[in-house]
Amino acid sequence: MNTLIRWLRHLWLDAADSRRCLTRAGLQRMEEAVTRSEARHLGELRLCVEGGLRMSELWRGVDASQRAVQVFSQLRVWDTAHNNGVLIYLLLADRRIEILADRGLHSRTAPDFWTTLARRLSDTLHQGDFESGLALAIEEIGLLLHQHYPDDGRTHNENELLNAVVLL
Amino acid sequence: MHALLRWPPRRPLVTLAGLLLGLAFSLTLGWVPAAWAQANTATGPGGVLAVPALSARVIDQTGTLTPEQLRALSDKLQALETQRGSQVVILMVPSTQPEDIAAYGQRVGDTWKIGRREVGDGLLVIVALQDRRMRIEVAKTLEGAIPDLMASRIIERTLKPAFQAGAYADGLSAAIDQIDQLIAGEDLPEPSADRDRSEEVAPKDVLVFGLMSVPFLFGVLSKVLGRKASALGTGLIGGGLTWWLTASLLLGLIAAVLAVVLALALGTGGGGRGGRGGSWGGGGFGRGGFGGGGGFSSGGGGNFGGGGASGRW
Repeated sequence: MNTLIRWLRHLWLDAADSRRCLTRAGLQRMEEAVTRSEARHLGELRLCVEGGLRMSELWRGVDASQRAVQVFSQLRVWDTAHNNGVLIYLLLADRRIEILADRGLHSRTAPDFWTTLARRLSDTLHQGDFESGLALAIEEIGLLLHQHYPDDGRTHNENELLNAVVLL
Repeated sequence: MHALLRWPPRRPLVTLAGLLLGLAFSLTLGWVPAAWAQANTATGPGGVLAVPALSARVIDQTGTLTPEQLRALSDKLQALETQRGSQVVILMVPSTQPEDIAAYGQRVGDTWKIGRREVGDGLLVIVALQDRRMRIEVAKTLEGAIPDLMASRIIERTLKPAFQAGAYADGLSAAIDQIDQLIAGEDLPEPSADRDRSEEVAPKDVLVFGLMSVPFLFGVLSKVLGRKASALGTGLIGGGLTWWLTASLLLGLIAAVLAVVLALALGTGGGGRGGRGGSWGGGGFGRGGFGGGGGFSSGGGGNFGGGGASGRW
């Protein structure tokens, strides 16, 4: 029964719900936040909010973390010069947060950094405040990237990935 | 008042056609017979069947009933009149063409004026043999005891099966019994469940039909509405139809839920999810990431050496 309700939730929620919980203006502000953040470092940030999984994915038993890996590869977050792309993936139907960092950045990060960040994000999202939660995450990751990959002017800082939030 | 029906041969398709025809007839005739009757009498007795003289309780102009059957029916009607006071007459004619049996029946009723003068409780059973039609004409006073519904039930469940089997006397005799009971103020015993098969809808058919029509309905609706509205609409229509067909609210609700889930699972309505690939192009090709090799080798997706964390809210 629980599975059935979970499936219904997944089938019901879609990109329109993702947009609704962030609002059109919020999406705009978030894209600007990513752009501002990436101007200060060489890293790449990608945000993705998905309403629910598809029937085929549910049938195969895909969960949020597996899906996040899929999205990570499909959004080509792996495809950066310094292997320092970060994906923040939210799955509304399961209320799951997945933060994936590419191996270049991960090797330089304290092991509990991501867990702490996920927990803080979780607290804000729990109050239904998606925008400030994500803004917080963008801020934190921006600081981290600035620490390890600062834009010191010697390397060309190209915007390797799109900055807009992806709604699924 | 207008309990009129054909009794068609026992072949399902013909039965169905007959039922539809009968329905159409009873619908149209419900409104026009008075005008028709007048028109027909106005054109004079030349074109239409003349009303025979009221010579007996059972008048058989077709020679179908044997003298014994005639007497038996007559006696029954005589007994009914003695016991209940109401007058019942049976008239069998070969055909009422070109006049309709309803109009003919009204003319006969108007001419004979059967029933007690002060009460007006007459009842007329007319059978047009070649037309395969029958009619129970009920005088106003008796309509309380024998409403249209009961009259058509007698036709449908007693006369029709018997006539189909050729047992005219038996059918009429049974009908008289039922009329007798109705006049006596008793309800007709609930007929045994020998319903017309063609009217029932098998659940299996509903299911198959429903499964086929959900994608179609959803497709049409999602041209106009969004994904969710279309799915709900599909559920509403599907559930409503099921409710109507099976007369079961529970089945209707189940069908509605199933239809919604199926429609949602079908997915791409109103362009909600269509654009999965759209924004994903990225910009990787122009940059030469492929040539460098470093980025490309890591791209398999499944086994990347990155890190991260998960949580829930």
